[in-house]
Amino acid sequence: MKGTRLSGLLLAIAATALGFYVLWQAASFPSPSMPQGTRVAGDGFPKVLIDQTGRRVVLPQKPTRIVSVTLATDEILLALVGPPRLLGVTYLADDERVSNMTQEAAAIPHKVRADPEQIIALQPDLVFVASFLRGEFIRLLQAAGVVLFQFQEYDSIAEIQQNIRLIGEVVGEETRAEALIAAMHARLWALAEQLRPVRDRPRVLYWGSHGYTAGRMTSMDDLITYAGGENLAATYGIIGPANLSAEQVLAMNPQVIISGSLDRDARYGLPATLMHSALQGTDAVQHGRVYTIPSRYLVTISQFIVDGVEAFARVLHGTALDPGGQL
Amino acid sequence: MRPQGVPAWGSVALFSGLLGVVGIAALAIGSVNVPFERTIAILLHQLRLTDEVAWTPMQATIILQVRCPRVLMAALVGGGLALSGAVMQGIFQNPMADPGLLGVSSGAALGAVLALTLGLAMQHYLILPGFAFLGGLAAACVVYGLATSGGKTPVATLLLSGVAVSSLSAALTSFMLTRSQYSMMREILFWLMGGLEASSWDHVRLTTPVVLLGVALILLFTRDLDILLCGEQRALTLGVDAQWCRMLLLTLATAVTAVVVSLSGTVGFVGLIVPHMLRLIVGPQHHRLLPVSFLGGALFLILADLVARILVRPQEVRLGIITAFVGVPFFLYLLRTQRRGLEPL
Repeated sequence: MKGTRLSGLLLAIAATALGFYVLWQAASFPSPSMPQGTRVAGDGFPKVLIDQTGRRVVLPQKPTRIVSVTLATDEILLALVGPPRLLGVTYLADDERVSNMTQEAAAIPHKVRADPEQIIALQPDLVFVASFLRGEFIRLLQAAGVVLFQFQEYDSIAEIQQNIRLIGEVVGEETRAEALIAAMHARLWALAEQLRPVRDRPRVLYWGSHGYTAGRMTSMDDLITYAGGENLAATYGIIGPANLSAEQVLAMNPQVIISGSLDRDARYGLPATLMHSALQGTDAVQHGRVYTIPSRYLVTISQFIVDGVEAFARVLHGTALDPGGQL
Repeated sequence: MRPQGVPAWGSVALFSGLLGVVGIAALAIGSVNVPFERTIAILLHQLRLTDEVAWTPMQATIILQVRCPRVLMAALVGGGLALSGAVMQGIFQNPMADPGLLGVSSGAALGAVLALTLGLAMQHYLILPGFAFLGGLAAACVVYGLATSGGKTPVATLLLSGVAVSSLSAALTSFMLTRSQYSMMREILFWLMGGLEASSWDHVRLTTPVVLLGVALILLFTRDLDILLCGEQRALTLGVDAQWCRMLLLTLATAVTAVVVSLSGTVGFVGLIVPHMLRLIVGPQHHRLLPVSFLGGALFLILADLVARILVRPQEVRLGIITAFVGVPFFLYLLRTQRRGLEPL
């Protein structure tokens, strides 16, 4: 009897542990089934939009009543189409802590949230939503006859550029999209040229809110690398976002630690909560190289990622790049 | 003061009337302004009672495709939760019993979070509610399995197993939350706080038959539930098999809860508080209490959802927050003023 109870207990513990393990694996990033964005078929108009479930919607003509419900598409669309055809952008586009286009956004008549009523009321002919929008919302909006474009949040500068190209195609502004991409290339190339003579590639750790870092396959990885640093999280084999303890940070011993800040003019220092005493031992703290960069450069997945790269390059290699420059 | 003399149909008629008025008000009010008379005209036209068209297609879309399914879902979810709560409180003879007692709500939350974290919830509109439903049902089965030994399921063991499995599910949900992407975390937290903003006609079509069938079956057993309250021995002499009856009602209430929770997310307090409020009004007898609980729950949740929509326009407050904010103070007021009403459960 005692043996049965013990084996029952062990079985329960084993089942719970297995459950945790399975969930751990399931929640590991990146997930193979992460939502894919909308694809586009056809040159010129009419175009066919194919969503992640394979559903096809015809876009008969160049859209003229466009509504954007993600910040990244706000920034891209403000650059590609602008006010007359862009009816609505997100309420975040007005928020200078996260948006890079507050001035341009001011000219857009409607600021929207993911509220079906509000979107339908604008009678849009094309609505840009995030790829992680729940299937139920998509179903609801489709039932109301709204044409949706699901924006895939890409994880590298090359993919952001591909995204700009795709959006250019959907709204019929291919030339402007190519020009925007070319401008990004030109600025990145110019920066690479400036960085060529610089030998030093400091070991950089991004350590954001709640102790999150960003490994390979993140736009942060590109941002650090293009800015002339070595992304320590990637070096340590981290893929995607991951949580780091102060101990791990100490073991990695970064030469530079960066964090985001919602303060528009943030320059130096991590939030107090992250200034763990253990960090005092890192090269970064000892040499005073702990920086905060405005969040709007770090969270952006539009063309403004290049502004982030340039800003961060100035932080890392300031004297070599631009003696008088300021972030 | 308990108006014992009021027949059940009186309360039912009263609550049905209120439900109609509040339902129409909820259809007419939202983040986009559609004048009240136009809302009525759109509804009458849809019911083929008039041919006159005095509105824009956009207004009709908002009323018929967005608000109608949302209000109907609020009614089904609120009614289902309140009825299940009343049944659970009756079966367990415990005023703290709520529809999530057998781990359904926390199991559903775990299923939903799994679907969201895996990125599956974006692929098809039925995946999220499907996962939530299976999660809720699985948790209830585990609870029942743990509490049953030798063909018997003691009530106390069932309650404790429910608490244990709920805690474990909650821990697993939090664990998944810490492992999920930042952008996804927001979606998950929002789901966990409950809400009906994603309701479409598909949801209404799915939920209505299950909830109404469950409710109808439960209502057939109101007398047995009253007899159960007199004790098992007494019930047996009156021809009611207590064990069987209890399990059947428990299964029905749990199934209804699993369905509604999988579509609304975790909406707390409705199942706990609405039956108590109504017990104070119509008394503890289940043949009165259960039908009124269903209607009262529907009324309460439509109102709560309306408040959630208009409180801080254009943002929406999560439904679970409103149900707690509206429900708890009113409940405490009733508790203080009519203390005696709660005693004879």
